[in-house]
Amino acid sequence: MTELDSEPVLEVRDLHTHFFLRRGVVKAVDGVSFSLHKGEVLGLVGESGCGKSMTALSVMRLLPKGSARTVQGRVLLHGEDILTRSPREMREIRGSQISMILQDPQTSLNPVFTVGEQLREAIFHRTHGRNKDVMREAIEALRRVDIAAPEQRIGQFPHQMSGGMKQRVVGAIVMSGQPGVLIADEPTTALDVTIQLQYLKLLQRLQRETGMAILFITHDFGVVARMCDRVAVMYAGRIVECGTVEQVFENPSHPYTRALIASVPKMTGPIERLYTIEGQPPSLMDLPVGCRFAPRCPHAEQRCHDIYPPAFAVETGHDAHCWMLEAE
Amino acid sequence: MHRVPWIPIVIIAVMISMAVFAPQLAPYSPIDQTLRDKLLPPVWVDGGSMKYILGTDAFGRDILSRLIFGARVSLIVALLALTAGGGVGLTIGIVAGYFGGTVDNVLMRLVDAAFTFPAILFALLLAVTMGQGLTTLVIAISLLLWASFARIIRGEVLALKQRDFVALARVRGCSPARIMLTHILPNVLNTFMVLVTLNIGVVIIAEASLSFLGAGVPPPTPTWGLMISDGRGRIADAWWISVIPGIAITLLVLSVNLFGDWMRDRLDPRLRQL
Amino acid sequence: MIPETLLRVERLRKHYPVTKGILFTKSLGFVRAVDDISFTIAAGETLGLVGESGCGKTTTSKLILNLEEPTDGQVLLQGKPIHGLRGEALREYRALAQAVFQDPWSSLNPRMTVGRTIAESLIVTGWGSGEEIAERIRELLDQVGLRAEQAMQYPHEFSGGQRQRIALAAALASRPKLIVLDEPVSALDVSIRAQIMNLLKDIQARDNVAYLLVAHDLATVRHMTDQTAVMYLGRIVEYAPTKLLFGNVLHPYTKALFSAVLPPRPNRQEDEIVLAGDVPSPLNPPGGCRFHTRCPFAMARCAREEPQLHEVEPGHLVSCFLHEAA
Repeated sequence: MTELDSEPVLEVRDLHTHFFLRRGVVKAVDGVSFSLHKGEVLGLVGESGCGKSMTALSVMRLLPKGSARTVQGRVLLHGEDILTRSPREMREIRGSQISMILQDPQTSLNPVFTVGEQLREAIFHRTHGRNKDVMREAIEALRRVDIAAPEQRIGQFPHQMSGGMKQRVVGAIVMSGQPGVLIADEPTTALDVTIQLQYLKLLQRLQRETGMAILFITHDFGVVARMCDRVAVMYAGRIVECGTVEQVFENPSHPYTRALIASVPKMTGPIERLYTIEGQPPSLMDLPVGCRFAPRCPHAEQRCHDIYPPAFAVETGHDAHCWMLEAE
Repeated sequence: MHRVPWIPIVIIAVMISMAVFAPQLAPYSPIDQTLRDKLLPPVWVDGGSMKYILGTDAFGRDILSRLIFGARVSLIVALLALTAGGGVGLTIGIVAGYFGGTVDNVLMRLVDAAFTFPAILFALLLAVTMGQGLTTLVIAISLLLWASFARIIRGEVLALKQRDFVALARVRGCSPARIMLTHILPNVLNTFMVLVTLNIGVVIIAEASLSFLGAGVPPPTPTWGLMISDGRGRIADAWWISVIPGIAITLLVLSVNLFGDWMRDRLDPRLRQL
Repeated sequence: MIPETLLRVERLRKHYPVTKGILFTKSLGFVRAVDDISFTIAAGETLGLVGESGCGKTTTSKLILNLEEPTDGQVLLQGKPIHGLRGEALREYRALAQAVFQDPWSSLNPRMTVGRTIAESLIVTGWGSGEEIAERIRELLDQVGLRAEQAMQYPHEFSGGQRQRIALAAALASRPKLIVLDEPVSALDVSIRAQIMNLLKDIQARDNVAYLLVAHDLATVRHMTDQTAVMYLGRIVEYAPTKLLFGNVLHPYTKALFSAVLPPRPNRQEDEIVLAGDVPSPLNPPGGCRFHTRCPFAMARCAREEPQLHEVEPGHLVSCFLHEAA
């Protein structure tokens, strides 16, 4: 399914997004590069504060106004840098070429409008069609996201729906723009487990039908394994390991990735004491010069503290930033 | 994060010392009339003199002296009314919000009643039955204040009650009284402080209106509110009679607000570290 | 040796009336948040209560903590009913049953130092002198992996994981026999979860405290518990020793829950059970088996009759007609 040789639809190069606060500069995203190919699902995984959501907002150019700024880097959408676009052009691009689903469907939908009104607005914005056509298309869009009896549901307000259903409505609105790239930021974290599975299946089906590329942001390795073709692991503002899901899960090569996978309780095998990572991630205001994981890493040597490791190839399409890989 | 607001502190300190040391500070008696010096403008206006720095009113009374003595009544009324009315409102708000149910229903209907009842009429009735004076004024203004305090504090408590630490306090064996005192009260004090500072202006204006209507401190004892109403008819030719106490009220309210902001940030442990 | 039963929950029900209007209220029915559930927890043992939102697991924990009065049924701790207690008896019960909740940001009073929070249950009961209490705070902070001088700090100075440690220290202060853990790790980061789970197990091994673990994550339940009860719409649908249950899942709803677990390894959907639709409203839930509206194996009978929990193998209870005892 992955077409690694094809032109990437979204390419992020050396992205730096910083928060300028009175207390100092928070380097939320500090040199992130990745590419997303047509029809591919790339997982961006990490713990809270690692910069995964800020990466997404930088790409969408939806950073919180005021303190946050992308200070360096390029975001190429179909080869063109969207960081240099005017806000007006950016509004056109958002929704039609690149779209986003957020964690909390509650905040994505406007509580005073019916879901139909919100969906129809999105469709009308694109087609400028007649009322009847827009309505027909809206009902069709709801049906595509598995909402039963869409003719009735379309007149309802968000509060009359369950969390899973609201998130599906958000999906319908986003998909109505037929974006080539979708950024999903923890879309299932607020949902129950059985509803999460429903939703992931739905996203997967839509992705196959439309051939869109998805950047899937999550903290859950299980979701990555289920959804993604490739995965990038983030730690303290940088990607530390990247490869296909099979490569990263079967041969995790960065100590952080290994530790994260080991610290999750398993559904099979003997019940042992869980592996833990000592300490806490570094402050993004005061980052170590060397490897950012070195202070917590059981294998750290002097060089890890002094020099940030470059990317070393583990195998084709799989690399990690760790000095231990240099010798090989 | 916030610097100490020295200017507001100085202004508040000056006003308080004016109130405390009024007899020593005032150059003249605030009530003695010198009719030949009536309606003199302040010193910086044509026709003003150093004799009366802030001018005189229609009866030839020194505005500065009246301002200094007026601070007494105004500040005492504000202090007492905010303590009494605010305290009652705070207590009722916490009790209603925490217990909910019937207790809440009864207390909140009382609040509604207080809002609909014309406070001025009540104050006049009080003045008739109890006689004019400070006590009447304080009671009347407290009755005006408590309901809005109670309503806002109750809303705050309702939100606070949902936080897990309140349920956990019950699990640890805290009595309702203890929870209200140690868990609820410290977390609504911010709101209370903000309400107090916001209401100082309301109190001073209320004092002015009631005094004007004859339900407050009887003239000729000066209060800032009375001074403003005295000059009401002469605003065109002798603006200083009203404007100078007006400026005093504005300065005081503004200073208390700035001071209140700073206090709130100081009291909040989350902000103290930043 | 059969361990002594610490907590016994008997036919517990909690129905919330739903009304319309303010002055002339009209009843719309009852939310059957918890509807006739029974289970026991032995001393020093962990029971996992699993289910999705709206299944009644949080209401159950509130009933056990005596934060809510049951509509019917009872909860017995060491053989004594816990509801309707007053005065000294209530205080004794409070000392025995403590809790840690999900949200570390809401669990601590922002205006109270960590030390005061931890000592609260001791202060309330007049447990000892100031010096004794200070000593106990130091001891508790040490047990949960924090430093003694941190007692003077306020909650905002701590991370989510540290806050959960503080909440745990506060729960341990009165030396309880039972701690209700309501999703204690689900709000934490993956690497912090493991730390807290290990800590919980260490404390249990040392103090022989029993846990009621309310959770939605089956892997966590498998790791932490001895017994597991699965709830759906206010009812227990499957109840068994954890090892037995994870080795032989019987109820279709439990199967769907297991199917929804996404293991952290590449897996291409094998024989997943994906449930259609949402959990029905617990306000007037479906008749018959409550799961029949979403059950892939539903029969005509499931809509008419309600299956009862019955033993299908020693210790393994299921309420489903598919597994009726022959």
